[in-house]
Amino acid sequence: MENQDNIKRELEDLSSSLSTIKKDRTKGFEVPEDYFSKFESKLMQKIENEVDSNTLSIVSDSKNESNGKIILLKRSVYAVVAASLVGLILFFNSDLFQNDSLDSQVLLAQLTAEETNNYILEHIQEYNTEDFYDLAEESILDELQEALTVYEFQTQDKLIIDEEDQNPIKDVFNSENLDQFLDDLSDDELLELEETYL
Amino acid sequence: MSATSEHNKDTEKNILSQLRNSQSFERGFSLLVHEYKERLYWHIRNMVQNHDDADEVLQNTFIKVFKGFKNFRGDAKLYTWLYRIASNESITFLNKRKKQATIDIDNEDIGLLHVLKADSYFDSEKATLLLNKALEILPTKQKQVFVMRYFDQLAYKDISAVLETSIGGLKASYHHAVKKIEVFVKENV
Repeated sequence: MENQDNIKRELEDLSSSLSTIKKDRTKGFEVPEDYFSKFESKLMQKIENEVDSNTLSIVSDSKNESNGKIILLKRSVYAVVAASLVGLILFFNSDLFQNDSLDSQVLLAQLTAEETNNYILEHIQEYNTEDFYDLAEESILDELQEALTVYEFQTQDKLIIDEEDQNPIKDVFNSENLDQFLDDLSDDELLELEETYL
Repeated sequence: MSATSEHNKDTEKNILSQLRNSQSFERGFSLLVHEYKERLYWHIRNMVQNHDDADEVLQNTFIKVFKGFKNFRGDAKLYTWLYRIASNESITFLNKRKKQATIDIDNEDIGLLHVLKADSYFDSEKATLLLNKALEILPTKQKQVFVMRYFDQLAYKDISAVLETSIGGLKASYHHAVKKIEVFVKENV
C-alpha cells in the first residue's frame, strides 16, 4: 500500500490534472464474453497443435503409402532453424547467403534477432533443403538432435518395419545415428525432399 | 505484509513447486495461466490496445512460458519473468505491426490511433479514450514504463527488473510520459 501511495503522490506532483482522471485500465475496453473462462482451453489447444506440428512424422500406414520418401515436415526444420539464432547468423554470413543481393545483407544488418528469426521463417521457401542441412551440419546439429528427440521416418532403404504389427518402429535418434542419417542422405534424396516438401 | 501480498507469495510458491516437477508440470502451468492471465492481458491490452492483438500476444506469451520454463532460473520473481516476456512480446508485436503497415515513422501515431478507433471492442468514453490516445503517442519505452507504473502500480525496482533499465532512467521515462500525456489531454479535451 505504501508503494501505491508513493505512486499517487508522484503523479500528483508531476501532473495534478492527470491525477484526477479516474484510473481504470479496463474502462473503455470491452472484452468478449467468456473470453477469460475459455482462454485456457484455447491456449492448450494451440500448444498441442504446435507440439504436433513440430514433430517429424511418418505416414503410419506404410502399406498404402509410398515407401520411397522421407516424411519430413518442413515446419520441424523451421522450428529447428528458428531455435538457433546463432545458427541463423552463421547462415546469413555463410557463403550461401553471400550470393544474395547486397540489399538482403543490408536488411539483415538492420534486423533484430527476433526480426531475423521472423524474416527467415517468412522467406523460408527461398532457400533450399541443402542449405538447411549444410547449416545443420555446421552449427545447429546439437539443437536438431535435441529438438527432434523422437521422430519417425520412412524411406525405401531406411524404413524399419515391425513385421508383427506392420507399423514402423519409432526410432529414437541419438547423436551418433542422427549424424549418420544426415551423412547418408544423397544429393538425390535431398533434392527429392526439397521438391516434395519445400 | 498484507494478506493479498501473502496470498500472491504462497500462490507463486505453489505454482513454481508444481512446474518444477515433471509429473505436475501441466497442473502447475494451468494454475499459472489461471492466476496471471487477466493481469497479463490488461498489461498487454494497454500496450497494443486492440483485443484481438492482445489475445494473440497473450497466447504467445504463455506459449513462450510453456516452452521456456526450463530457462527460468528462479533468481527473479515469477511475475517479473512473466511481465518481461509479455513486455517483449508486446514490443515485438508493435514493431512487426508498424513494419507490416509500412507506416512512416514520423506518422506512426496516426496509424496506431487508427487501429485504436477501429477496434470494435473500444468504448469511446471520453476521458479513457483521451488517455489511451495519449498512450499511443508515446515512444514504446515510455509507454511501457507508464503502463507498469500507472496501471500496474509497480515499484521502480520491479520495473527495473523487468525492463533491465536503471531506476533513474525509468523515473525520467515516467516523467516524460506523464508530461506528454498531460499536454495531449489538455489539447484534446
